[in-house]
Amino acid sequence: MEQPGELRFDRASDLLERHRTRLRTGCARMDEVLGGGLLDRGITEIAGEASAGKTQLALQLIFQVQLPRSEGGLQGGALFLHAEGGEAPVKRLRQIGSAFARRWSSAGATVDRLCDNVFIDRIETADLLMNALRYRVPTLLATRAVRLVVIDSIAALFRTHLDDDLPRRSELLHAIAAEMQALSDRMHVAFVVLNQITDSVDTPDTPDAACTAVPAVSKRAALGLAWSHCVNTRLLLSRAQARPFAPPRLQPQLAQLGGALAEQQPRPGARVELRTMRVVLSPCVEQRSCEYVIDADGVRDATDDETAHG
Amino acid sequence: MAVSFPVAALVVPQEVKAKLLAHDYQSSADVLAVTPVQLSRDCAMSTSDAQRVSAASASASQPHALLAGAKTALELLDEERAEHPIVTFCKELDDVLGGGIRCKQITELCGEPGAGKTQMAMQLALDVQIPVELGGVGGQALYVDTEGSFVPDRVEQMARALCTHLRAAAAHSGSAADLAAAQRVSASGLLDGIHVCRVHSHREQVALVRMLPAFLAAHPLVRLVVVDSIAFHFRHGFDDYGARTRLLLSHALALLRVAVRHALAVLLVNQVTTKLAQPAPGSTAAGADADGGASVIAPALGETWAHVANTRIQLLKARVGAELERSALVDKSATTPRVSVAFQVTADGVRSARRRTAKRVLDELNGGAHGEQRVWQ
Repeated sequence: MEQPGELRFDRASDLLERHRTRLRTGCARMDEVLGGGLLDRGITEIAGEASAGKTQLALQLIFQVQLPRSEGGLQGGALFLHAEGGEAPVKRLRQIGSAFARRWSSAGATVDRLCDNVFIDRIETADLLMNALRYRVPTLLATRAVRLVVIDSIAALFRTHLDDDLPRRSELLHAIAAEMQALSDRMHVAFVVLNQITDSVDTPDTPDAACTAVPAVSKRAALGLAWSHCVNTRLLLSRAQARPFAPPRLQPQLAQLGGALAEQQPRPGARVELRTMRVVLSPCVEQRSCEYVIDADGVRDATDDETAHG
Repeated sequence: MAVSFPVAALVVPQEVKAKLLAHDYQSSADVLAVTPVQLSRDCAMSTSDAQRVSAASASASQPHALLAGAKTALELLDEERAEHPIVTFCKELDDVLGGGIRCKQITELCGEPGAGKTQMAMQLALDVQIPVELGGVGGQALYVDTEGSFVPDRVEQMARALCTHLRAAAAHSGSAADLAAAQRVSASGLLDGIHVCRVHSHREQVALVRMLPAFLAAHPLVRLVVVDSIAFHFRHGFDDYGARTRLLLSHALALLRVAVRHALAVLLVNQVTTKLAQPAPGSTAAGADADGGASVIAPALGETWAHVANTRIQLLKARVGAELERSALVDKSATTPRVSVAFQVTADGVRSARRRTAKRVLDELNGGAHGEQRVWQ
């Protein structure tokens, strides 16, 4: 079934131009911390607590990837593999698409055309993902110019796996990662994998610990050490602690909406919540962090005003 | 001068030896005293067997024939002194390793994700190219990328820093030859000196090592082979762990053979895994796990694998205050005791760790700012 491809020897100097491309996130400070954006190949993991903005960032990337290369995109469509409970976030996708189309209207972007380049599929289990990566995804990639595959989320795929069979889980995770790596190189597609995090109160310096600024409690990405070895880049999103945000009258609405503020135009005087993105693992940039906000335009830089007041 | 060996030492099948001994042929001299035809008649063996015994006796009787290729300890010591090791650019680690990563050996580099394994491997792929005039090896590197973490523009960034460093070092020494050698080094030249091969399965990985002798014949300057990581493709796709271990060991043996034959260094990057076991020597305690059992972080690929590398270096990271502190533990080595040294990964690459002043430690404890008090090594 698996055929060894032809082994190629390249000089690093020849790879330099080929692999210099980055996928911009659409948030300038994030891009700066990432050294220009996400790698255009391999596996980038976005981990974070519920409503930290993982899906929001992923949906934005689905539109960013469609931009021409001169604008930091990869000039291709995206595939969204949905594994979390509930419906695929089609409504949010359209909302972010509308805002994105407004911003790029001069370049002829329309929300319909943007959404037409997005493929959505539902995946229930890790075995089904493996199957999709082997058969269905390559078929799609062969016929359509897809440059980004988002998996939301890898942790959800393993919810039915028993915790006591860790060796089997570790093997399956490595197999999935290897399949993604092979597809990434063969079809020139980048993988963005969302992951949940778990709180850990024991020794914070264990390998897969993705420590936040909060001492004693460390947030670490789910699926353990084996999966940590499989990702090329790991970004940790978190909602900043004890930051003042919208006035009290907005609070119930916010709770209802979770992190999805996309359809809410910022009201006069209302301040949006500051969030933090931290590079936890990367083969090419330092472990740095930056702040960002989520509003009607999607994920964007925190303005000086917000940072000062926050 | 012909030397006589007992029949038991001859390289012939066991049943042939039995026939020779049964008919009172005790040594190679006895065999050579008669013709093969006579031998075949005496011992009731086929003429082809008799000819083989004769030929084996004749070649074994040459002086030193059984020890062909063997060297004395003094010869080996001279050879080792002539081989320059590859520097890591962390001086303390180089000192512990006796100058750096050794040729004709397998060095294993293991550590948790983000510990700096790939950074160290990329640094060594550049360092192997330091010209001989400047105390380097003057070679090239083959980088086998199994995980997709080789990022060329990061290597370029480190290559620029290496060029600057070499030029500064040559200017400091003031020798014209050094300066000329340093001027010949360029970032693009350094990137030209790294051959990259991407492999996507353990089959490709095994096939690549089989192809290595041909590749090395075409690129004789290669003095370092990096496999980053050896573990990734050996941690999936195997139903039978015994088969995996056998394939892995023969893979490592093939790499060692290449290392010795071509006098190059092999650097194998390994992952780590969590084990629910008694803390074995060489593993780092990671506290209690959710079930209350003690879990330890240990290099992946199992116990048998631990015997493969000549030198094993574990990279560790710990968070002290806001700072990330990295250290390298030389865990297994024929030349040094188990010892740990600090290092850091900067924009320029792998470097010695900055020394922490007492003031800075105090500041850290108080949670205060300490940006200004840094003292660079």
